[in-house]
Amino acid sequence: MPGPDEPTVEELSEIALDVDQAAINAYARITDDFNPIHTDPAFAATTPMGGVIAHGTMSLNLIWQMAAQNFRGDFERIGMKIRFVAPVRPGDRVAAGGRRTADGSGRYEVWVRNQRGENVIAGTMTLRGHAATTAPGVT
Amino acid sequence: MNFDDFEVGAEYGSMKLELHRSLIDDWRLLFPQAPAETGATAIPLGYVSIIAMRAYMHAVSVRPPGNVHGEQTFEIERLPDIGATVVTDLSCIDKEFKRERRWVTFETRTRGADGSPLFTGVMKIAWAR
Repeated sequence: MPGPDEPTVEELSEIALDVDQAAINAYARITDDFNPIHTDPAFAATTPMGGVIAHGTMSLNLIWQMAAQNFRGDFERIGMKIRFVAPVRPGDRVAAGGRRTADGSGRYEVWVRNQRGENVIAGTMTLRGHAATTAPGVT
Repeated sequence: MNFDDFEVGAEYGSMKLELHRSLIDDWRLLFPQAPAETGATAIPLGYVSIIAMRAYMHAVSVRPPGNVHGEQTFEIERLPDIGATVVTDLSCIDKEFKRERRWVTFETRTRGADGSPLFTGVMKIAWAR
């Protein structure tokens, strides 16, 4: 059972995104990241990735949105530690999910998985400082 | 810049960014599924990643094509408000050759216009030749 300052949600509700080249190009404009491995299929085909991959942080955005959806304003500070473990390609559908760990640390195992159920991002998210006892925080 | 050019511990510049509502609106067009934040004055949580990536793109503007983002951490103390100005400093904190890949690790530190800390990030990039 979680302590008074720990999050009580066990499973985080998912948020998904359909990835296509238009979305990748839009994300490139938003971040100013026009690395051709994301935007140029001919160049990307010559790299070890063998083709276009989406920006890793585009999928990471789904974890942030999931956190906002599940914990809006409930916690003052948030930590995130993730690895980009597999590429996301145009045509993929990716979804963020998460589950509270059982160690009482207030930590969540988080992931982004593709339509085949494979992790493309894996890591942890830690929520600190319950809003009921602290100043207004992260929304 | 090439892998050999990076010096661990060196600062590679700062980026000032005004968080105009139009920037947030562009982000929302791509992520319409983001939770509605009616009346919220702070930027969406997801925009933290955008600020860090833009600072990296600005500070290390000459990069070989084909770099790949391998790992990322964030520690968020506070979110800035929409309309605020933030400053992000970027430094190189590690580099290594491992499993046939050249890895460069950068730290971003984002603060408000008054210098108050907002959030930090660490990004590990597989550096292309």
